Amino acid sequence: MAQRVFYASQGVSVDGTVVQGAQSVSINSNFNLQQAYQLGQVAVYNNVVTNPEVTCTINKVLDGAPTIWNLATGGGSLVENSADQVDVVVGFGEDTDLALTSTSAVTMTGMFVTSVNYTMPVDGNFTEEVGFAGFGKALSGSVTAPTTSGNTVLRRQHFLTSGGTVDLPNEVAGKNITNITISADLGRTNMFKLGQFAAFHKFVNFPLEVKCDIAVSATASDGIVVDSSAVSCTGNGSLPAEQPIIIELCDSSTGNASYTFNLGDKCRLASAAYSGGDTGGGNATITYSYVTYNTLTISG
Amino acid sequence: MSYRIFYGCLGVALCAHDATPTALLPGVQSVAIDSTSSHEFFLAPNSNTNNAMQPADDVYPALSEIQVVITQLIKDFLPIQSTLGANDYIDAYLYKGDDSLACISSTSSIVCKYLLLSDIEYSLSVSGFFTVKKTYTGFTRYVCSSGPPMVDCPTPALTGVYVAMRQCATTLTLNGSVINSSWLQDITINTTISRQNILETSTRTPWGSYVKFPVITTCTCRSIAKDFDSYKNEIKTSGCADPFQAQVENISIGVCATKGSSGGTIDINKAVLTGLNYSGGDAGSSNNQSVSFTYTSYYSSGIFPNIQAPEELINGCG
Repeated sequence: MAQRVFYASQGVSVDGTVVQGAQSVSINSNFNLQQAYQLGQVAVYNNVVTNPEVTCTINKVLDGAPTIWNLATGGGSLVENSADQVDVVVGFGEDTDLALTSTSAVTMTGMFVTSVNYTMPVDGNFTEEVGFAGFGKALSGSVTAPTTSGNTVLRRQHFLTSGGTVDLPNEVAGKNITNITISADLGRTNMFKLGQFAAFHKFVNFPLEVKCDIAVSATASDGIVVDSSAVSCTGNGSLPAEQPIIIELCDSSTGNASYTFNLGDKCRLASAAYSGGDTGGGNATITYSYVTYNTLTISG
Repeated sequence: MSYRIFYGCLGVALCAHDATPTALLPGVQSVAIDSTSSHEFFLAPNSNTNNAMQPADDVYPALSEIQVVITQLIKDFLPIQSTLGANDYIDAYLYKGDDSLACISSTSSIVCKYLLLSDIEYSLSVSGFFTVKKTYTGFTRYVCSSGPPMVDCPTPALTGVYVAMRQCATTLTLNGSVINSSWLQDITINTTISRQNILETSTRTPWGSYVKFPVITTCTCRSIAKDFDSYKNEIKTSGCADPFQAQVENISIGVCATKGSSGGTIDINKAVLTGLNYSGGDAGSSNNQSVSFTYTSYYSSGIFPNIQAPEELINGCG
């Protein structure tokens, strides 16, 4: 009998496929309560469960294997896959085994993707974190151990700055990029109906904000001009224009794109933050934050 | 000594007229008592004010209107004719207890007598608990410091209690448009009984009360739209030969029995669609298009057209 659970004795699968390179998994079971009171007594009249919900967050390294988003939806855009539901299973095994052999598991059924987050740091592994939410959780199922084939964890050298369909914003062109974060929170809302306790759907709250933060090591100013006087009837002057953003990570064996993140062509610079370079000795950094809505296509 | 009144030291009891209340109403969420009265007075020249016309010393109160509004969690889902006060005069007691005790033990109350049910509204919603709001109207109110005692302290662990929620709306006989083209979110059923007091000479107490028909019942169903409805409004060219008649429907709403309640069914017969509204689903917002169906029925069964009032006791506190 296992005395503890650690990384080697647990595993996670999405839609029946084991997640390769999983780093962590968290599960929350929430029984949202509402109390009813009545005149004439202080004690609670009835403590009612209104909406049981299960949430799960999985974090994995990007290693050439399918992303969690791909496993959950088959890949593609956020909008096209906004109604997809999958089963997520977390398996537990003996803490003395070299590889996972499921002795117990929890199966979370009908899970919706609630958030996606991709981080590409200059120092560290490229990671993906996907959040799920659903209504059902059972103490059943099993998860097989992930394969031990030699996937290569993607790091800074696997970021494509040119070639393929790469399209980086003008503001960061030629600069030393140190960190990229792509995130989208689908912000789901439950749908109920009279005559049924369980929610029958979780819809995405559109418009859906997709953010892309790109941090660079500053070599000069941020290059951003703020001049409202140049805005006229026919033009925006020097204000940031809408532009496409496509980010690609290369396959470690072929050099071709293994992951593509397409934010569409209506991304606009929302803010540019310059900081650092203080007397503490650190370098100045500039973080360019881009925003678009309802558009994010993830391949790979 | 109490320093305040809050929900833990307030209690409401209803009983037949001049009977003694035996228990507090369960699941009461709020209670309101409104008293309005008009007065009659006579102007007369007053010598102390240079003969200016001033009210005479005697001021005569007209019949007061006492309104008691009670909002409760639904326990029994009863048609209006079976609701206490629909066809009989009842009394209401609002008890005040000690704010440091866990429940009511009191003889101090506001007593409202000669009450009749004038309005009832059931609210069934996907979010929150099912509630019923009852409005009673009468003409007598007084404060009793040593009236009929009320000791009502349920056991702390109310294991048998279960509050009706969305899964308890089990019987829904509605037009196919409501059921098939939308996800039902809220149902509100409202019945208003307009009553008129019948006065007689030699006494201020009314002889009784009669109902001003028709008794109107409205049922409003609010849904999240998933398709279009099947209703139509069209002008017939041959109005005399083929007069267009409203589609009459029988609606039935049922709430299942939970622990401690018997549930029930309310039938709204011969209802016609009087309102159909689409809204929402605006560009740039996350809300869904909602549709509201409002049905109105002028058919009432089981409501007595007139009720004779009983004699009033001299000592109202009993």
